[in-house]
Amino acid sequence: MKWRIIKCSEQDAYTNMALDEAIAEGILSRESDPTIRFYTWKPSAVSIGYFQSMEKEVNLEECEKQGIDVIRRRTGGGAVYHDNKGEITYSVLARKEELPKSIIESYKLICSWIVSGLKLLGLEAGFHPINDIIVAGKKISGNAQTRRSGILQQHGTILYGVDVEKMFSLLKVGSEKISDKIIASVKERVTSIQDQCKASRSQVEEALLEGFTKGKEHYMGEYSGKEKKRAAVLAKEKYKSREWNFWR
Amino acid sequence: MIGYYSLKVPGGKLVNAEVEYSAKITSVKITGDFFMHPEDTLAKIEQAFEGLEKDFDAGKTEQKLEGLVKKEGAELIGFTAKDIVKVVKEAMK
Repeated sequence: MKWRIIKCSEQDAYTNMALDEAIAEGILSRESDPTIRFYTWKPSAVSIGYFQSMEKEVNLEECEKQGIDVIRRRTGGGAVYHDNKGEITYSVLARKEELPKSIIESYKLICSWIVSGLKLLGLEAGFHPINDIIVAGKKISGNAQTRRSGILQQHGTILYGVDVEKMFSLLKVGSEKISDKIIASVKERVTSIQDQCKASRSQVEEALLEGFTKGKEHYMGEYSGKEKKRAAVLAKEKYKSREWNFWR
Repeated sequence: MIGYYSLKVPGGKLVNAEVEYSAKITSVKITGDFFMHPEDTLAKIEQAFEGLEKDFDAGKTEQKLEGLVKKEGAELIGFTAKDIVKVVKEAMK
């Protein structure tokens, strides 16, 4: 299997999620190679998990005031604030036979690529089931997976800098969510690369690229014309729609 | 009436239920930060509660949901059928 690697680029939330789906369709029809892509969100955005309620999780009024996009992902998991400068997001898309059948094992494998990248920056990172990566006992990366039509998609974020106050102004976090956490406050249980080392953004991108591609047959590629065209349609008709974003 | 309940599964995910009911359950909506593959199974789980008496048997319903999950070849990550039954019950208290 030869992976296509797409270097970090920035798009809006709708295009980012639509590109994942367009690539998944391309892999299914054998027109696209298995892909690892890196991206950021412009403008900054809040994404919610597939099973979450937009109204219960997101402070929509504040998002609108701050010019933050809101979107539902097609993966489960929780609500995430994607700061334009504060994180790097990745997606891995491949036929599910190419990755471990066990969901936890596949999380573990893909997360080990992130762990390798972080280790290149001198960070002692580790996989923390179900779907997190931690450094110094704190979460630095959250990940989410879906398997539809035989295609496995995992995407996740690696925090570069974290603005907890801003995050909390945009998300509605219930007390139930944090009640059983070992450390009480989010500030104490979330960290970022900037908190842990002095690496520049481009150094982080390079390290992640190395971590994700090490030992894999791969080539540096771009989105195909067909993928971009399909993503534009999906962004407009699905991911920007109220029907999709507020269905729960 | 509409009832709502949230459960943070210890070591797992958050599961919420919004239940519309009178003597019987009219509709159930489950939300949360959990994972379920395939995702479409959730709609079938929600439908399984429709028409049940308000004081339905938790054990039997749990078995019914487990059977449904098995039939669909579904995997629930971060919560169980028992947790779903619990949030639905609690939402009507």
